Amino acid sequence: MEHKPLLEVRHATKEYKRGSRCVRALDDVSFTLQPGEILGIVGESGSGKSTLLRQIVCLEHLDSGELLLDGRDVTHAAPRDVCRRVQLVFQDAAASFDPRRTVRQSLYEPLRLLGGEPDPAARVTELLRQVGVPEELADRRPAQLSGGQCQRMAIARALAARPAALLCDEVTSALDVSAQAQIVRLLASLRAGLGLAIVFVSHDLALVSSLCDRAMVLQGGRCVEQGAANALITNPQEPYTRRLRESVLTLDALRERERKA
Amino acid sequence: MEEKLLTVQDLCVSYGDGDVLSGVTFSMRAGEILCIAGESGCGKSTLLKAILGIKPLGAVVTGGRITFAGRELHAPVPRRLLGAEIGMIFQNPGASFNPVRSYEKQFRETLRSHGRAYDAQAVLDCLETLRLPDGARILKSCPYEMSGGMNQRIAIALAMLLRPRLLLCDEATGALDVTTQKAVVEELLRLRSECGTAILFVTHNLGVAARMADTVGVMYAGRMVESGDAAAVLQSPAHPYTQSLIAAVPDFGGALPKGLPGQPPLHGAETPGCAFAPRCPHAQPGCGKKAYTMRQVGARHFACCTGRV
Repeated sequence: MEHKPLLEVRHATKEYKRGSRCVRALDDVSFTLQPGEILGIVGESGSGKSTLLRQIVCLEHLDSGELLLDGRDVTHAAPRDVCRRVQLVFQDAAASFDPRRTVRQSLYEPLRLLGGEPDPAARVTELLRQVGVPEELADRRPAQLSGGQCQRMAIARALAARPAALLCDEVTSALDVSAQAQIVRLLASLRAGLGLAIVFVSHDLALVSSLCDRAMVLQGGRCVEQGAANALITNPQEPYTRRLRESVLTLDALRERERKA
Repeated sequence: MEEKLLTVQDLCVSYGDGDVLSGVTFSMRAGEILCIAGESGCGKSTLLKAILGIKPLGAVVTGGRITFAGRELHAPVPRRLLGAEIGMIFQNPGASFNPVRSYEKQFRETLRSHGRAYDAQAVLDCLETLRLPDGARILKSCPYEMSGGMNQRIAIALAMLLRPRLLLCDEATGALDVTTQKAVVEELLRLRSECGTAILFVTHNLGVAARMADTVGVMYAGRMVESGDAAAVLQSPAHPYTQSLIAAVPDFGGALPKGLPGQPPLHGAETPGCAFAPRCPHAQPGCGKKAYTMRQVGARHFACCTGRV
């Protein structure tokens, strides 16, 4: 039986004016996200990945196309209309927190704004447990946390709204490999534990292939390829996808060098 | 015996409340590419800054010596060496340019201060090879107009134009897309083969090390814990920490990369024995007390621990 999609993007198009020029950041992009699914979006800087996420959380509005959340048209909705269902997590977690407040104070903020939480203190403790950070770290300020810890806190803050989907914009790009691996594992466990759907935006095809069910490749605002993540990696149809795949430096690079030598 | 270009002997740097680097020793030949890998906070950036004679606030070099091309380097390192002989690419390129001065002016200024002529065509070619087409337009722009990735590639171009004998790179590709990262790595390899530039490349990404390194050093909590030929270190890692770094590199195998739980110790967290023991899967009760010594574990392959007792 076909599930009702959580999110449906149809023919999304967005242009920005730059002086006298018009830059098409999104060009007829369509995809769906099922509940509990992890969708990878791959592409280089300027391919429209972040623009796409901003449209989904209604920070900006599409020039043309449609956005459906739970089957409801939210193309022209305000951020507060969708924030209980979709939450955005940014690459630079430290910059997304108020540097003067402790992380705990920042975690209270969405609970206060959204309301309806009978015991906010207990909810904060639960959020910290969900992202695997020791409770005492919450009393530090963002600058006193490592990159990985800060990113976990940002994920905890996004989870405060009990969303059905997390949109992760390059959340691992600024982290070192150990922290990156831990965040990817955390996202996988959140999907398993909470049934969360995730849009995982990254330029690292290897990471996308290890985490995601399906993947979509964006180039210059257009979707050039879309399909099961495994198939996309093992059998890329588009030359651009192949190029992205060949660009990932894994430990195999060593064997390749030896073969050439 | 082949002359060493750079020798670092027992380097210790302290921030007052504890050591950031303790007893770091390694050497590089001319034209060699050494990748130093480790997590954030392991002292990699401090090591590069110590070589350049730049001290972060509060840092004191408490011991050791650094020799470049037969001469001992002391802070401040002579101006004529910086840039021309020892180049540096910083992690945050935005901070190394004047944000409101055009690239062209800054390129001219830098080249002139090192007694080099400004060759417009060479500059454009260099930008082109780093996947920066439309170089003429770029040179007319200012750093504040550019993205971090663009800025980084332009900083790399400037460092390469000076053709230094030693290039220090601090996570130079960390902020870049995979495609650009690959282009930069290929370009650095070309710089080495054409100009014989030795490259000290600090990274947390062992995939980059696998592509370009001749030798690899792995640092943890301010100490070199394993070093040797790239093939030896990456294919048969001896130290449990190196093994965990390798397991964290994503590949196309379909399995999730394995992250090492816990955090490296903070600056000044003095550990009498192995600093890695609290996170080590093979830790024994005595590990926290054993003295730190590098031992040979293979031909041109050294480690301070092999995870076996």
